[in-house]
Amino acid sequence: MIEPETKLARISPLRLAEDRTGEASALISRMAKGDGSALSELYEMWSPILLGASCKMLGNRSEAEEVVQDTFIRMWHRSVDYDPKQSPPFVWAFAVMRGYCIDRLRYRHRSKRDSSRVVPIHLHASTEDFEDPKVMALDDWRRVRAALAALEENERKCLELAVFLEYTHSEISDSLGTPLGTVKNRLRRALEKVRNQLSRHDF
Amino acid sequence: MLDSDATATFDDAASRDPELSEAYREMNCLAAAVAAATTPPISPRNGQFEKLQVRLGLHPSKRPNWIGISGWAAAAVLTLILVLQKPQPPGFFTAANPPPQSGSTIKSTPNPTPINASPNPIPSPATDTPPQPLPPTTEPTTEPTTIVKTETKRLIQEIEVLREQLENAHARDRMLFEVIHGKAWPVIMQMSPPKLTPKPTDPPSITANEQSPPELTNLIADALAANSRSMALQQDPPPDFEMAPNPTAPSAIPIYDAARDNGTLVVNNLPKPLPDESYNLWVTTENAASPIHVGRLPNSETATADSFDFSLGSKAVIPSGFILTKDPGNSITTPSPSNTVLLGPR
Repeated sequence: MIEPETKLARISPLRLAEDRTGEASALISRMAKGDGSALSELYEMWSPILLGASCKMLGNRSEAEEVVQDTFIRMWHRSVDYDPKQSPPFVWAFAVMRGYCIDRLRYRHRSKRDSSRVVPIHLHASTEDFEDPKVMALDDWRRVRAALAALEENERKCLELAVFLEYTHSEISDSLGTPLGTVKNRLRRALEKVRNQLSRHDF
Repeated sequence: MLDSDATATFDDAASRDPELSEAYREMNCLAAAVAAATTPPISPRNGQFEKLQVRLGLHPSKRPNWIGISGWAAAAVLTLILVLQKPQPPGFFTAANPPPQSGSTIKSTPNPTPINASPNPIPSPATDTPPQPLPPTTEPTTEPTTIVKTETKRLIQEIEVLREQLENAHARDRMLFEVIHGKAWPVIMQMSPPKLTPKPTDPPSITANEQSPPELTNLIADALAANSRSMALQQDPPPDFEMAPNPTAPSAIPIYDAARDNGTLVVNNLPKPLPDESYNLWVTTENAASPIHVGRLPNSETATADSFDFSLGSKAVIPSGFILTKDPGNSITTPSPSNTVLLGPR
């Protein structure tokens, strides 16, 4: 989780991962009416990327599949209360999935079954060829990749651990073996760079 | 990663601070975008969505199994054809017109005018019981194929039950009447000193299904009467059984009924134990790796021939042999060549 001092200065909305076609929102609306085919379509759209992300967080495919199932079950039951103004559909789905992953990671830490973070199984795999417009708009894919490409390697690691795996500064420091102050500086610089890149890019 | 308390505090602060809430929302968008951009997709394995549907109570649409359906359809059509091609059996059976035997082919009877003949051919299922007379009304109550299927299923189940019962009976018979070396049923064994051996060519077993019941009867009677070993053998020894070359040698005959867990050990010419000695009876089974101690024989003060009742404690024990040992004092030592007095059957 990002700490208050590194909170982004609000310049303009990033508008990332928004549902520009309205297809996902329509599917969620159909799910709210009990349409099973909408669930099927949404599962087909998002399950690969959600499964990849949960595998990345948990490092265990079986657990990741359970998390994805839990995610869609929660989405099915909460689809009635879904408000597109609060968050884009994919962001909502990802937030639900990440919550379940964090719950499992907390359980691991609590039960001392996992003394260290699991090495993500596909963390370093190439994703250059994958751009699914049903997950994000194509220009969003390119904006995010361009922003991440502008970061230095150590800044990118800090950012990934912070915003993706929700590491605290101390956890990042422990994980990378870097002093806490260095981690904070790197993370602040990374967020500023990403903010600037995403704001000025015009695709 | 915040713990649950910190998360709750943060959520509370975000709900009160719109700017923080908006920043958090954007961070979520950024996290989702970074995750999507840096994560290769992984296709779920087959059956995951069906599992999800089951968990949600949405019954997955089953794909028709055309191979299975076609097989059953072909079987049903064939059955229907066979049923329709069969001649119509009479609907009523009398003493002059007995029902067909079970398993036999249903043939048309010479009676040309059955009493309750139905205009529609209703096949008579091949059952063990004679078919019931048809009701006076001619309306078909059940489809022929349904009757055939039901009866076939019932017969198959009945055959399976009977087959299982038959196998159990065979297994029991095999266990009861199998000729076991040196013993009969109820278990009657001949125990002799370890150094004495029966004729190698003779079957030293006396079984209930052998052709010499008088010898068996005499042996049991002698044993139960606790007659002397020499007298019993002189009177009517088994023709091909050499019990012991020395008539004064010690011997014993354990008789054991596994059904009641009752046994009697008849000993002959057994030397009286010294005051600090005792005899112990052991039983060997095919399942046990080592002999099992049955009990200690009480010291007999009067005669060298005596009988002792014993039980093995379980009706499931089928003895394969008995051993009598002589041990010093009250100690119980596992049978060995040094302490074994009688052994049988051998």
